[in-house]
Amino acid sequence: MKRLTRRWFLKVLGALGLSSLLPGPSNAASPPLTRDTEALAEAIMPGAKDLGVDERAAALMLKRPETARIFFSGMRGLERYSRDRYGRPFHSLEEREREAVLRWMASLPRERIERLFFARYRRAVIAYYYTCPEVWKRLKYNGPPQPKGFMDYHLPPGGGSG
Amino acid sequence: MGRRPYDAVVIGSGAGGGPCAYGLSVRGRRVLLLEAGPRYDPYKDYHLHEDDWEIRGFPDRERGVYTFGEGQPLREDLGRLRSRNRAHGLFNPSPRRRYLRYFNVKGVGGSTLRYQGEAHRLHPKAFRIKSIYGVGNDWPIGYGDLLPYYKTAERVIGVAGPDADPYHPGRVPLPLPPHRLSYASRIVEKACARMGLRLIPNRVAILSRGYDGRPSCNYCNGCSYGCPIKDKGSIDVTFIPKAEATGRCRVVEGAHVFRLDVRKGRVREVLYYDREGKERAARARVFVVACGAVETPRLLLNSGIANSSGQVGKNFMETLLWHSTALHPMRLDSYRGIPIDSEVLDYLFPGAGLPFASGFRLFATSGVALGPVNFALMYLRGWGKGFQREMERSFGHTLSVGGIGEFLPNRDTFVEIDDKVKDRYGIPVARIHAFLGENEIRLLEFMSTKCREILEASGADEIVEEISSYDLFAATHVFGTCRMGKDPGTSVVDPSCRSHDIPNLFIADASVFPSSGGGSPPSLTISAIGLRVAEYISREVLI
Ligand SMILES: Cc1cc2nc3c(=O)[nH]c(=O)nc-3n(C[C@H](O)[C@H](O)[C@H](O)COP(=O)(O)OP(=O)(O)OC[C@H]3O[C@@H](n4cnc5c(N)ncnc54)[C@H](O)[C@@H]3O)c2cc1C
Repeated sequence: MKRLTRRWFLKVLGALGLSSLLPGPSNAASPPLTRDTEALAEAIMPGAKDLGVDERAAALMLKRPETARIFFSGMRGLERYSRDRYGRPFHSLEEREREAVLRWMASLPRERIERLFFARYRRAVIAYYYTCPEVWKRLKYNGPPQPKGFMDYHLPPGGGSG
Repeated sequence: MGRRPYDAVVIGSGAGGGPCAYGLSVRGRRVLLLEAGPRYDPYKDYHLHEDDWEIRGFPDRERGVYTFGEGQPLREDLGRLRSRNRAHGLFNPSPRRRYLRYFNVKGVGGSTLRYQGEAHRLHPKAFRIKSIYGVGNDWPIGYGDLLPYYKTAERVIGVAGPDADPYHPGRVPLPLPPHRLSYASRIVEKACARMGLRLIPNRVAILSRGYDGRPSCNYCNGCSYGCPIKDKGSIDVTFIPKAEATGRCRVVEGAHVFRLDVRKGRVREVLYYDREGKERAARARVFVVACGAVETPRLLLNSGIANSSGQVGKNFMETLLWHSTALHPMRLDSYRGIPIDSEVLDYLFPGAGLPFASGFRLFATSGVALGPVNFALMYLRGWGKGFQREMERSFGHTLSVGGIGEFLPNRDTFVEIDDKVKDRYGIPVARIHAFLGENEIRLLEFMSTKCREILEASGADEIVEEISSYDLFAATHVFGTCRMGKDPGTSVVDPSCRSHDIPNLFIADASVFPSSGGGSPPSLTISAIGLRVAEYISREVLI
């Protein structure tokens, strides 16, 4: 299984000249960023990690300095809340506890950075998850649109004479 | 191309400029076509073959800059006209109309690179709404004046559709037969029949058979993501290659025209920045502006020309749209097919007795969520396993219908220069002001009721999304900012689209429309105007 690494974060941020945004490993208070990022993606879309969706969603947010800042502030908020409430980092919480953290983030006032972060990261995880052909099979979606097109467009889905 | 001077410079290569350049070059004229945007290669640049095609969208390399004025205050009693969505609630919870975007494309081929391929002649009555309904404006030309150019445009583009169309008397056959209705549209067709409405196949610039070296459509429905197989008759794969093949049309991409220089009452040259940002000038005997209904007035106003009437930028008209999407108990996979395969024309310029003047058009559409990503993001709430189960249960069940209606010009709806905001060349941008009048609101009320009734009659369960021009400005069809007319005091160009003020200046795009056509898609008419301007210039000016 592919795992997110600190080196990966450094590479993405380094390319943008934003390495300073990544909390240092020696800092005891620094969030276990890689594990939490994976766990959050997995809580949003179970199966996301195996499909590499966590990495793609994080990479999307790290593309620009504004969204990279939202990402790190949001992850810090998630980490803090998990520790305050359950005494453990997000990635070691039970499924039920993770669900409660997600509900907390989603119900915060609009102006709170954790809510903004969650909205963006959720959107990115869901979007990339549903770009995966493995997932399309379960939906019986026969994409992408090209090069085959949908020549059966005039028939009921799955063939038949309509 | 040698060093001989150009006969004409055409600015903008979209639905109007491309055909105009074609019309001039096939008549032996030497044309310089200046286009601000890049040239896209349909085989390489579009993303419909990729798994993340929905995220990538149309690969806009450059977007125009413009600003918006004040939003119209919304009325509390018109809550039913507001845009809403099951997952996100109201799109615009604010008390004012929100400006989202003027949808257009900068590129060789203009906005037709993203258009959905609807290719209509205007209804003959569309040219006379003032005479018939007492509202808006009549055109100084009629259906008959555009007829030969419509036929040429349909032939060059390769329009498919039914021959028999009761609303266009004396119609000649289109080059290609109509497309079959999609499975979903056949359900809408039956519902319409039950309501006494007639859903007929649409007329589209989408090939139903191979034509002119281009393949037939494979019904991927991705027209607005950029057609990668060239069956959609956008201007870049139809008029422009034919113009270039004459050897007399030179297309310069990345050429931002910022001024037309007038000396002794005539345009002497155009000034533009090239792809490297270098200032250049081009001269010709005639100049045609075809930058679209927002950028054309911007260019004229920034140049301080052709505005003795004070009408440049006035009479702006936008897209008056209603769109409803529901979930149907049956799986339909309505994302297959072409974007708008069928339409109801029963309310296009109807008789008396309805609560609005002029009219509108209804259509069956595949909607906007064409794949799993958009479906998930637009219609579902939450996360986790429950989300995934709901997705598996409801994906493929959407059914959408919509309507577009007449937008009458009014004093508060116009385009002006925003001196405070400049583009990357330091040129002030256009500011758009758009307000709906009473007729637009009555049309929206009627259209929304009909759309909801059709969905109900189709057996759909729950409406999951409604998008409305009432509270959102999201225009794809814009018109009217340099309207044509006989009176130089109230119009910018004459019936030949020649400036009343400057004899070697013409306009050939959506800006010249005196009215918006009752909800008909405008591109074919814009192209017919472009061809007519070319013929007029060739015959009457370049002699
Ligand atoms: C998503 C979408 C779907 C649509 N679907 C349909 C449909 O199905 N049927 C239909 O009939 N219509 C449709 N339309 C509308 C249609 O595309 C437009 O009405 C039409 O293309 C307008 O033609 P135009 O020549 O006025 O402007 P455009 O086609 O927009 O062309 C203007 C060109 O001028 C260039 N330009 C602007 N300023 C300058 C400058 N200063 N210097 C040089 N070049 C400049 C621009 O880059 C652009 O290429 C759709 C539009 C969109 C965006």
